[in-house]
Amino acid sequence: MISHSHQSKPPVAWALAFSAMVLAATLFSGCTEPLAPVLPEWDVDANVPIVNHTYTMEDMLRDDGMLRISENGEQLLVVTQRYPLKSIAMGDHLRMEDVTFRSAETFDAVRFELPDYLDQHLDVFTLFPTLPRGSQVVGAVRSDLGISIAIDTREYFEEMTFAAGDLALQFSNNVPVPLRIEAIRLLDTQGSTMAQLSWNELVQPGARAVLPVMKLDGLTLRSDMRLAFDISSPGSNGKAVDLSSAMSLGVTGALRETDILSVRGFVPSQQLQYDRAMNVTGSTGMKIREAVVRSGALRFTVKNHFTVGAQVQFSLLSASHGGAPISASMRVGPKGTATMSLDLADAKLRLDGETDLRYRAEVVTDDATEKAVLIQKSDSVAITGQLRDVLFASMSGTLPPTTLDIRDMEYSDFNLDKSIAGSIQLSEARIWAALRNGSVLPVGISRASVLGKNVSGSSASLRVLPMDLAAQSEIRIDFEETQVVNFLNSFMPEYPDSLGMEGTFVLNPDGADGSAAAGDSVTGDLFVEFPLRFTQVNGSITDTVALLIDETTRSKMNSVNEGTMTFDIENHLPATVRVEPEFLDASGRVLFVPASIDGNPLQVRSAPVDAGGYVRASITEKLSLRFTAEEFARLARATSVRFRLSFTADEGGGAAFRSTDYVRIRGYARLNVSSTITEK
Amino acid sequence: MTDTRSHSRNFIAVLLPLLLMATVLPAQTIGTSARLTGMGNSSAALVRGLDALNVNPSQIVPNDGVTISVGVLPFGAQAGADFMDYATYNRYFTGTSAEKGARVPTYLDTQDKRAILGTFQGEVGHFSHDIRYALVNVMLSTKFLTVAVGITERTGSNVALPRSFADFMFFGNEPGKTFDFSETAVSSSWTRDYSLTVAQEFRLNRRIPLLVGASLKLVHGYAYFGIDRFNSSFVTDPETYEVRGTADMIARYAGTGDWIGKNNTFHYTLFPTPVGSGLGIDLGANVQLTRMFSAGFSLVDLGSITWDRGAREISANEDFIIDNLSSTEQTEEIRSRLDGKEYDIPSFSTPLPSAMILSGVLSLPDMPRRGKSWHFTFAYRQGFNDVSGNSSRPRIGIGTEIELLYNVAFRLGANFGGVQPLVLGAGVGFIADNFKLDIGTMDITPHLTNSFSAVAVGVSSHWDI
Repeated sequence: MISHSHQSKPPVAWALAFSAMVLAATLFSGCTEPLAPVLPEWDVDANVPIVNHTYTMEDMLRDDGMLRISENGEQLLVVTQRYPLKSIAMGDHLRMEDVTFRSAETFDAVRFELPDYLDQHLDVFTLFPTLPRGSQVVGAVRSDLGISIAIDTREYFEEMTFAAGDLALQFSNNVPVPLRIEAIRLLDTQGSTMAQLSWNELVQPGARAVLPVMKLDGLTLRSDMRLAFDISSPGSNGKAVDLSSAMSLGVTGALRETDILSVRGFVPSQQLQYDRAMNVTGSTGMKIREAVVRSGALRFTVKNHFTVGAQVQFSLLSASHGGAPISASMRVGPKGTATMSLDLADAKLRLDGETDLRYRAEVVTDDATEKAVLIQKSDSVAITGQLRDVLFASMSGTLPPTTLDIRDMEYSDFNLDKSIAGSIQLSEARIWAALRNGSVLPVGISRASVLGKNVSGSSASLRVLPMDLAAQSEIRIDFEETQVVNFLNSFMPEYPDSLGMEGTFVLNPDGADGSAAAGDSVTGDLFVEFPLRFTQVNGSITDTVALLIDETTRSKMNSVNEGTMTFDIENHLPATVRVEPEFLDASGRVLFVPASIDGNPLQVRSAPVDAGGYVRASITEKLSLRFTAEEFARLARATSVRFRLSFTADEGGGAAFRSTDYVRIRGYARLNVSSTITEK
Repeated sequence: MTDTRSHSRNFIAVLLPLLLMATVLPAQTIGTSARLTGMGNSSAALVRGLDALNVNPSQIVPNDGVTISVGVLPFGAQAGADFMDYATYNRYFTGTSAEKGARVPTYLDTQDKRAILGTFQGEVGHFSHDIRYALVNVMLSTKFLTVAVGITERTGSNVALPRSFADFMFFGNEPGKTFDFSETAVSSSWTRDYSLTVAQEFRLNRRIPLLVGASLKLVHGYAYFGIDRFNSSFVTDPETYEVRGTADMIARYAGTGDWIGKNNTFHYTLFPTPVGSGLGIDLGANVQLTRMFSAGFSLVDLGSITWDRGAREISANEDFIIDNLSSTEQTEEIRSRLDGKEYDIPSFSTPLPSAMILSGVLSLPDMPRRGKSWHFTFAYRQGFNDVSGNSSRPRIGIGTEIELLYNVAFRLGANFGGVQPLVLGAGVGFIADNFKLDIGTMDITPHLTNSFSAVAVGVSSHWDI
């Protein structure tokens, strides 16, 4: 601000114009419009540590269940591998031998009861044709011609032959004079006497006389036979009696207690029942107190020799489902054959005397009362039973010694040579088998061996000495160390790719009494163990590791102009380690192989070892790699890196690996990068 | 490598805006008087009336018979850096011409990088900016008392940037070299003063005029960001490239939700919600020692502001070692440590840009003509802190004003210290009836050459009755 002046002042317009001019000169003289900023680009070196890590053998192998550290303080690494053996399940061996049994059931007691075989009334004038009708005093009188009664049985049979049988006769006197009946005879159509009864009794008026039965044994009755007898009367004893035709002699006869050899006629339905017990264990020595069947069936075949059909029902009294005997029925035609099968799955079995299967056959013949048929006593029903493919879910009793063939046991993959290829000569090794018998029955090893194979065709075995595994026990079988070393080294320069056990086990070798279930099994493992101490090492491990590079990082890697990576590798392993990395794309194609600046292999010499093969001191070497921008660009496309780590140890000195042995890798890089990397 | 990128990003994020502000901002001053600006801030004892607000409250007493004075949007702004001049910016940071007038990034070779680093005059580069404008300025003068009220808005920042940042960004982490960022400092704020100033003239021994005045300010704060401590450094082992360092940092900030909230687009409002408040006092005196010489003394902006709304603190205090960048666990842990922890705090206080100003003016009467004086001015400013708009480095200004033309005064000044060791200012003042207009620049370099790294202009006017 300027001070006021009282002198003449220039016009205001002049002052303002001048002001604008000076203002412009002040503010804008020498000024040009600034250019918009454009960030420059440059290259800069980044010196960064890439990796600083110590890999001990323990760290490297921590996740490998194959290795453990020895417990004797040496920190020696020990390879321990377990190979589970295929379990031997009892269910495959709790079985019953197939059994076939037969029986023939005859109708030896065809019953043919005819209670009204004969029922006749003979009036007094038929008995004594000479007597007049009306009131009279009857004197002694006799029918000289005798009496003959026709017996028509065509309603029941045409002919019947008795092995045994009774004809029971009764006389009822409805005549007012006593009657004497004698010379009772059974006559055929020719009048010949077939049977007779020596009975001579006086039957008083109004009385009933029951005669002794007439034996029909061996007789053949036909439908047109006659009953004949002689009859007389001592008269009315002076008394007048009134005779009329209503007065008669009643004659009844019945066939009883028949045992019929054959019958041709109208045979009613016959019901027959047979209870049988069949030995189903035979001579195997198996005894079954109680068992639950896992699977199996009993098949019945019925051959019917009758001229009538029959319904046959079988009930297994020794086998039940839910407490009820297993039963089923079938129909068999006349002179026919039929078969049925009873499923025994889940059936509970209780054998009589631990050996016999009890069953009941119920035969009901067809009713033949409408058509005459010939039935003979010798006719039979033949039954054949077949017990097949019976396996038990459980059983108590005695299982006979059972051979278990374990030749089909699966081989376990040794799985070592898949990750390590090369040559290792072992100086110590152990193999043992740990077997566990989960059954209450003992198991015997009669002939078995550990078998090793590899794909090249090599094979070797270790014999297992005979021994028994007590019921529900574990056993460890150690193999002699020299044999084991020879066994494993015999596969060199490779390894067995599979190990297993094969041979013959015997279940319940002494036939001891006990119980067993299908779920019981014999299981086991094979163990191979050897210290990581080699007289010769020439192996390699090849592994492919995925490279997890995100898109941002891939983009940034393209901003790297060139770089040098240096690795200080401190080797505390008793082996020379050679690294051969290859960077691969998604298709597995090799994008590039890093090479050291001096062109030498990426290799670190073995650390010096003492007489025992243990590392005395570490050895450090420096490896330098140079990457061009093009190689970084290719690295950016890599999705995986394949490492081949080769180990070589002095053959003469040998090498022993401790868990504390290590490889320390300290890597650092000088990367020349573009400043544009920060924009990505 | 990740850390390298991170530092590079951070560096670029900080440096670029500073460079842009230093070169693109159009004008500035300190205070709201362009008369001060044009004379290199030396005329603290010369200005009177509204021009003396925030400089010396005693001098609001007019000496030209004015009874009422109304300020018309006085405005001043300055921005400057002691590194990276405009020419350097134009050469390296505006791209290179390519086809069809396009500009592509300029590639920096080693010589270019060294040239840019050479613009640092020491191990630390500084940047500051200060913008002030008065929304309201009114003065009433009576024979009993002179009273002024004003509303002055101020934004400013002070940034100290170690050369190590640029060195690291351009040449990477040279093994064996320690990169120390402990000189890093940032203070920026946006405040508004509501001031009441009273002053009166007294006579010492009944003949020596003595002006005494004081201002009481209610200060509202709208935003603050400051780094209280940044004792961070690292060194790369020349053998293993292992990086060892320390990240020790405390930063605090507070801001009104009108512009600092996430996803908010800044919308200026006339009365934003303050997030801090405080009281400030200006005290001043001026004495006319002789007919030609007077001197002034003032203490300005004594007080502090307490930020108590939405106050947050970011802190980190970690030693770190990077020796395995392939370890995700390690890199994640270090990244987490370096990022620090951010949390709410109840409040924090920051001082106002307090300063002491000693000033004097020698007025040669009747020059260049009768009734006019040729003024020679001097001022010494000692800031008590380095908050935004202030500097603890003393500054000395000298200047002169002469009315060579009727009602047109020409001013020159030089200022020593501050961000620039020496700046030359110039200005002009006009009077048209009751309207007075002053225009000035504290640094004429930008108007003469491209080799400038600071600009400062002011425009002030008031209507006097």
